[in-house]
Amino acid sequence: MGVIKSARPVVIGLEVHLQLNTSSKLFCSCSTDYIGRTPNTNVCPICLAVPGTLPIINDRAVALGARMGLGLHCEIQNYSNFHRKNYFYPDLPKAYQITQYELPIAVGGYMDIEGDGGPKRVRIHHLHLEEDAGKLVHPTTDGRMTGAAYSLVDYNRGGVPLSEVVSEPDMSSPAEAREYVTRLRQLARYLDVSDGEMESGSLRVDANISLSNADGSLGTRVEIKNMNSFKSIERALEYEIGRQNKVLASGGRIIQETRLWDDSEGVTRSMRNKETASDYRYYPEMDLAPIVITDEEIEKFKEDIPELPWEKRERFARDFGLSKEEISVLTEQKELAAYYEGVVNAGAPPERAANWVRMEVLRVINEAGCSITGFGVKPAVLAELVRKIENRELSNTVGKDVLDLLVKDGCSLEDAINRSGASSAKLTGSSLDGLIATVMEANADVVGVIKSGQDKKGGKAKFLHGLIMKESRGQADPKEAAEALSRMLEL
Amino acid sequence: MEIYELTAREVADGIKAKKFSAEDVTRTCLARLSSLEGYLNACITVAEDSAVAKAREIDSRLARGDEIGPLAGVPYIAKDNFCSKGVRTTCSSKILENWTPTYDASAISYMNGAGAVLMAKSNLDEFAMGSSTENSIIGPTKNPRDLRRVPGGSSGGSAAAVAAGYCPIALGSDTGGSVRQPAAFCGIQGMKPSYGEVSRYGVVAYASSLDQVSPLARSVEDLAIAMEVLARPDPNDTTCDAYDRPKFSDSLSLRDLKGKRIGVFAGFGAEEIDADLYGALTSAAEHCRSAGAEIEPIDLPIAVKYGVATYYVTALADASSQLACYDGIRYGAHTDGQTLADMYSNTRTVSFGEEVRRRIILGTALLTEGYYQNYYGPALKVRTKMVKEFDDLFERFDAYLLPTSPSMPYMLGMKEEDPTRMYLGDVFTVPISLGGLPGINISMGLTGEGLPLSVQLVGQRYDDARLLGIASVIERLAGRPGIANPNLPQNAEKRRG
Amino acid sequence: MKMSVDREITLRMARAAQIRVAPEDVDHMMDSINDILSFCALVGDLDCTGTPDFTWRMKKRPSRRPDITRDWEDRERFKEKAPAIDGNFFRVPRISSEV
Repeated sequence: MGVIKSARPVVIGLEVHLQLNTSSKLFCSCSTDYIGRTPNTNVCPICLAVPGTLPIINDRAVALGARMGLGLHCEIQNYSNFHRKNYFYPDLPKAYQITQYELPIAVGGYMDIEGDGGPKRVRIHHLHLEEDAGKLVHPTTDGRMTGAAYSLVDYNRGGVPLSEVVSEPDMSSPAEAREYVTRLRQLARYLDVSDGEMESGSLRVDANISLSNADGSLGTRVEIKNMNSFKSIERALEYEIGRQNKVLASGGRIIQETRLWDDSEGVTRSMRNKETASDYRYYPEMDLAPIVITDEEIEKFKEDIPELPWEKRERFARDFGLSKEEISVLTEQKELAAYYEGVVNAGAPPERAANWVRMEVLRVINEAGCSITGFGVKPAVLAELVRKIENRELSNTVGKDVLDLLVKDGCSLEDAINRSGASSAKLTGSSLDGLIATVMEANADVVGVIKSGQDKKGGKAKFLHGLIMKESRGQADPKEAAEALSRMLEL
Repeated sequence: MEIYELTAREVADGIKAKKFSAEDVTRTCLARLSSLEGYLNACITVAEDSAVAKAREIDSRLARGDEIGPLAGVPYIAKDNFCSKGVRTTCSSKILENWTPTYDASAISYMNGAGAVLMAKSNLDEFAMGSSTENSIIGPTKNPRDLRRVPGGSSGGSAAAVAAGYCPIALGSDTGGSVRQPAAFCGIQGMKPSYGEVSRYGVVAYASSLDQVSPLARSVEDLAIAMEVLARPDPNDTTCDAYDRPKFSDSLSLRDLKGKRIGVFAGFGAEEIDADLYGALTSAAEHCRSAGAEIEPIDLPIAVKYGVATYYVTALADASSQLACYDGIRYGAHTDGQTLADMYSNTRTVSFGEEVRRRIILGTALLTEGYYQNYYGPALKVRTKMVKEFDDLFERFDAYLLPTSPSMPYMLGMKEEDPTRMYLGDVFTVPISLGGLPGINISMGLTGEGLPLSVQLVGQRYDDARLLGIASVIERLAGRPGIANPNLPQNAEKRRG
Repeated sequence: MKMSVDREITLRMARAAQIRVAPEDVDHMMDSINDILSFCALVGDLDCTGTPDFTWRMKKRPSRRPDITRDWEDRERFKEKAPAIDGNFFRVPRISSEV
């Protein structure tokens, strides 16, 4: 990733659409829960553009827009308004989209990311609110894309609130673009602004990419659309860098245009017949009163902002002494971070708890295909388990079995430990004897001391027992190992 | 005096006093309508059955001693661009010819809630675009004061209906004079409230930043009663101001104009305004003076010079966008096509009338990149300056008088070809709309030939109640308009019976 | 600044408005647009330096709608009357899936 070497510096700016976490649409009371719904059920006179209806703005959409803006260090505007973006298309019932154009809700700001060459600050131009369009379906009679003489329109998604975050062209590689979107999504999730799922379309990314000229001036900008996954963002941009370099190297010129990423073919394609921006015809939306946000409201929004990812990362480093890598995994999702903190607060040592959450808990939930919120083991229980391991009451390996039992059977910690003790003694009989022999061989001096009868208190034998248990990585039953050791020491 | 000659308050009082029943009133008004409608053509749809049913309901509620509203049993007519649940709403356009809304406009709900009886939906210029009510799917409405003349427009049907005594009160929409001018042409009272005073929810839009629901009546008192019913905050329209309105009828107790300063427009000479109308303006000023007001000449240089151009840029641009939703997909007329573009343009070309098509294309031009910067953009700033001009003026005046229209109602079919002259017809009404100010057309009687005279009284934004008070004083001195009894042609063929 | 349109721009604007202008009517429409553009160029004559764009001032700050969902009970009746309905969908002439 990010391995493509471009002959010219790459300049990337991104426009990220986030579907806001509201129950109802931006301008009417229809549900935003459109996925899998019967077509045209989440509709009403307002979102179907029935004559005489007027848009009424959703308070929560405004709050979420402001919240995301604050997370991006933007300045929230006391006064913002909407424009109409006029163009005909069947998914747009009014034949205009209501969108913030001249005076968006949040302006300026930045997002810090891990750039190719270390920490990097990507500037945010603005964040604005707008309504989503409906969906078009192109039925086929025989599975081909051509065939049926008509297309079908579903307005369930029409009017769903979006916030569009427009960055400055501050990214220099596809990897940085991906990192930026990752961080932006993380922020949106921390703030409960959006679920940020690319697969379902809650997060959509359009990219503007250009290659700088030899004299450092900016090249012609190409817009890339239709990138439906994190992977496709990188692939599309890498493809486009290659394409543009090739065009320029052969003496060609880059045309300012919009290209669509074709994920299956792995290419970008020029979008034909696309209306140019000037054909959209913008003008102020007078059916909606402006959004007036008072300073008090902005203060309230600020107070409601939870700990943000970077703040959490700093605190975890400070309070728990974890490595950057550990912190990165633990804070990726705020729910996981909260779980981890629950474990530590219940008395588990931070480092071992980090290790357990990061390795074991994530393994279990990945296997189960659930999320941390669906993970059945309470932080206090895991804390107790981790504490026992820290105190060497249990081996790591047994601990893992215990955890599996806790997850699988939902039993108490005590039960799980008892049951795992019996079932986990996998190193037994001759293989156990073999291990003991190896340990004895490696510690011949200690064996000599014991055999000479100088280990009156049995301390040396316990030492050997401990080594055996450690070497067996908990797979030996401690009692069986003790008996076998006695036997082999001929005590 | 016939029931159909009574004002809304007189009707409501009569019903409460059981002098006559609500059903009597509605039936009398329906009879008046059917006796004249063949000549006037003021209504697109007459809701006879539902009107009678509603009137009976009022009567039985009254009989039970239930609480009834301030307009209980008063028949009214709404312009056919007000959505009325279960009653066809055409906007006088082929594109909505068979469209029946599933909901009531807020204004309709408020009127019905006050006990008023929706009797008919009145004729208008298609989508309220016009000022003569000639440009309609059902053909032109005639002026009841003179059947050879236009009733004005676009709320010409509502104005003609009130003037002819179909009903004491009607609803229109005023974008740039669409209620005040037909009120003037038909010789009745009509008020465009301040922008933000009455909810626009359910009124099919022409221009969002200008449209206002506006009552028409034969007395200022009825206008005040209507305003009391109509003007209130509405969660369905955020441009309708949520402030607490004063009680409009209280303003009617004003006895004189002592201490009031009233400006009289003196920006145009007698040669630019019809002599009779100039005379009406002068006599209105005289009435004010005699009632104790201080009178001073005023000029409105920005409003008069730039108003019409600013209005056209604003309204046409908005109209092009407002009417884009008629795409043949979800409602309204639809004409098939091979491709999407064909379907769109077939539908819109076949089902919009010529004037509407023309205005949509003009509006589209004004919003196009390049044109926007030279037209719509500057117009937004000129409008701010115009508001400032009004604000400054109202620091010194309580209200001012100017003509509603510079000319008398013209003959049917006399289409103005010279656009500049045509625009001048709107010169006194559109600046008031652009400024969001309340404006009342007050009848000033009739000429010797029986043609109506009038004057426009304008107040500060949100000063609607006080303006009604001043208007009531002028009305007392000038005389309340009576109904028109059209001089019916003896052998003329009725358009319909 | 006064602007004008030619036949080609007239047709482009008509297309953008999704309205057909018959060949014999193009000149008339063009003249009509030019009349408006000529008359309305007046708005550029007033010096508006430093003047903000018009917007309505309101007495009371407009309220915003609480984020509560509501079903529309007339939905099916509305769909029945739609000019081009196909099952639960609204139907339009075929468009390429691109764009």
